[in-house]
Amino acid sequence: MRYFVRIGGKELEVDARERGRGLEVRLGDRVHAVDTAVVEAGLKYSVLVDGRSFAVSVDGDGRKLALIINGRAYQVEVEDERERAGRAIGSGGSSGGGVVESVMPGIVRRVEVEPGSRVKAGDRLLILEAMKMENEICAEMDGVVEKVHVADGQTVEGGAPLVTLKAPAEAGPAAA
Amino acid sequence: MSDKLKKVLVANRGEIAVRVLRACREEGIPSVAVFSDADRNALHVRLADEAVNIGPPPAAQSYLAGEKIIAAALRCGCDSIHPGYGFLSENGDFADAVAAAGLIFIGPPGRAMREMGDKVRARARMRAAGVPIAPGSEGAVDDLAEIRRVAAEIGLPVMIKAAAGGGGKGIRVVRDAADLGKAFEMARSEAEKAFKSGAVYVEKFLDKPRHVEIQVLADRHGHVIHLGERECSIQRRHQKIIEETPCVLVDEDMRRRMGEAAVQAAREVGYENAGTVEFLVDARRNFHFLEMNTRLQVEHPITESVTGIDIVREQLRIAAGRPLSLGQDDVTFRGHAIEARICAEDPDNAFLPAVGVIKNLDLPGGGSVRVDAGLYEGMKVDVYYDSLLAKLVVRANDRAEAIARMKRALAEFQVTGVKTNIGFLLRVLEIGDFLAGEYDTGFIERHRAELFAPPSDGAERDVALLAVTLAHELRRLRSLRAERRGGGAGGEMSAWRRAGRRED
Repeated sequence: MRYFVRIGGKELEVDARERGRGLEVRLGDRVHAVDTAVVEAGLKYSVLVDGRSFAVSVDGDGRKLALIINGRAYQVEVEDERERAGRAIGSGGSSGGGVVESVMPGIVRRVEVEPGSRVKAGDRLLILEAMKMENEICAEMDGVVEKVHVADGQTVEGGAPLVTLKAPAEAGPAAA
Repeated sequence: MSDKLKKVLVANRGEIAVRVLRACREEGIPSVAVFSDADRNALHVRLADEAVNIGPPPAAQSYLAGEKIIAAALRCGCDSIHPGYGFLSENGDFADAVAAAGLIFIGPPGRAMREMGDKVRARARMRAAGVPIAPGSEGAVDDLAEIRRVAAEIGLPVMIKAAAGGGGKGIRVVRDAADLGKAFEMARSEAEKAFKSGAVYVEKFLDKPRHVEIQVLADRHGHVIHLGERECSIQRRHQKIIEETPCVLVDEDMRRRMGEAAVQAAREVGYENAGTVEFLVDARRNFHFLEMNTRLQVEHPITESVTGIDIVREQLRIAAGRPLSLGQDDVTFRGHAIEARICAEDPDNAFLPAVGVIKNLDLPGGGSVRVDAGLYEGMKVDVYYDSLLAKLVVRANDRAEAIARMKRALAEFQVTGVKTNIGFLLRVLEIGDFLAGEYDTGFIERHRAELFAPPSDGAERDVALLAVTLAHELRRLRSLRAERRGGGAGGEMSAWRRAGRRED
């Protein structure tokens, strides 16, 4: 099975085949023997890659994974070839816009954008107070503010929509 | 009074409640935990002899509701209340109310807290007592001409600070004399809004300061001792994340002088119980009184590690009226200790607090490794309280060994279900300036590029291989479970057999 792994901004193509008790995994021009032992199904694994030992904790559904490898956390997205093929038929993929949601309940301290504002990835959209601290909610991508769903002083629940962004030029999937 | 407390109510939650309850258990003192509706399952409830619900999750209606807590203590037959840190711990009026109810507040008298809480008054008293303070105004200033005069006298840059200050509010740094007027107005209006008092004062701004603090213990019989320093300069969002003792800058002579200054500061305000005197240390190793924290400090365990003194047990004994169990000459320091604060937060997203449910938890072990935590699998991490999940403390013979031990222990500390700063802490421990001991409070900002660098190509390869391996496992697990749910007896058999073979 071919897999596509996104780490940070990069995508790597990895091929994995079941071989005996383990997997044979190809990345670039190298092939690795991988032996996996379940410590706790779905949560905790011991993985030997060519005999090198990794204690790995995992959280996720198989597509979006949070991995803890020897204490370090990594956020990765893994798509297999069937999923990718299915997605290609289903739609043109994400255009890069979307709704920025509150990751936690809190109080909106200050909205710093308005509909029509152009923002770059990392620009501050608003300040949300939660856990006794003021937290900056920033744009994850370049775009234009389509709608602001909240006002200063408003209390919001976790998952509440805050700001809707659309991609600067709704050009279509070619750019992605 | 008997020489032992009868029963202690711990007016806190999380790791510090656990810490205090453990000390009570070891001292043979019965304990009472309090908990909000959000904390019914919390570890501190399970580790106490008795537990009392004190209301809804928001702290204002539970852990900050002093009258409810005092009522619970009286109802349970307690003779004392330990406030932990945060919440009511530095509230002088609460300390007074506890005393007025006929209970012992395990901490300093309310009057000493108030003396240290007013920054202008504390500065004046420290100056009078001969404790070095940063150069600045004599007291509060309320006109621009006086601010200009003081700034000219001590030299720029200066800080204009709220007298009632705290939490970084009402502070302005001025590097250019032309900005004094505007900064004065802003600091005053911010102070007015935050503290209902527009009183401000001027203090020399130290470039690249190190934050070094001294632990003190004071009993009711006039004995005051210090337990050496803690270096706390590694901070993000003005909060400490890594502390160590000893501080690389402090030699025996400097420790003695800082210790004497801290003891003097405590004596000056009639201090009692455990407290911490914070100093800013400049590049030339001059130290200046910053403020006194009139409570048990989060990072107290590193002092315990190198001195062998159980600070919380000392607190319980002091509160019972016993004299200190040791004198200054009995305090010795052995080896090096480091604490790392493990927080539910996302370092890659401006250290935004993270929420979730702890799914998997592996705690480190091995020699000289201590974990103070209120953590357990299934614990809900939500927005009501502090994001501190655990304190990891290690001790070793010297600093290099302690750093190696901390790196090893952090790598063993695995938490899923909520984002943590463990990976970030590991990166801090790899920066050359940290290893050399050359750092100040601007460390994280200055090393941003290295601290937030993407993984190296080699690491990236490993992550990709492991990610695919795990993704493959999870897909297999999902289809197994689907098969088990949907299939007939035959399907179930084969699923079990396959699982058995794989999970051997």
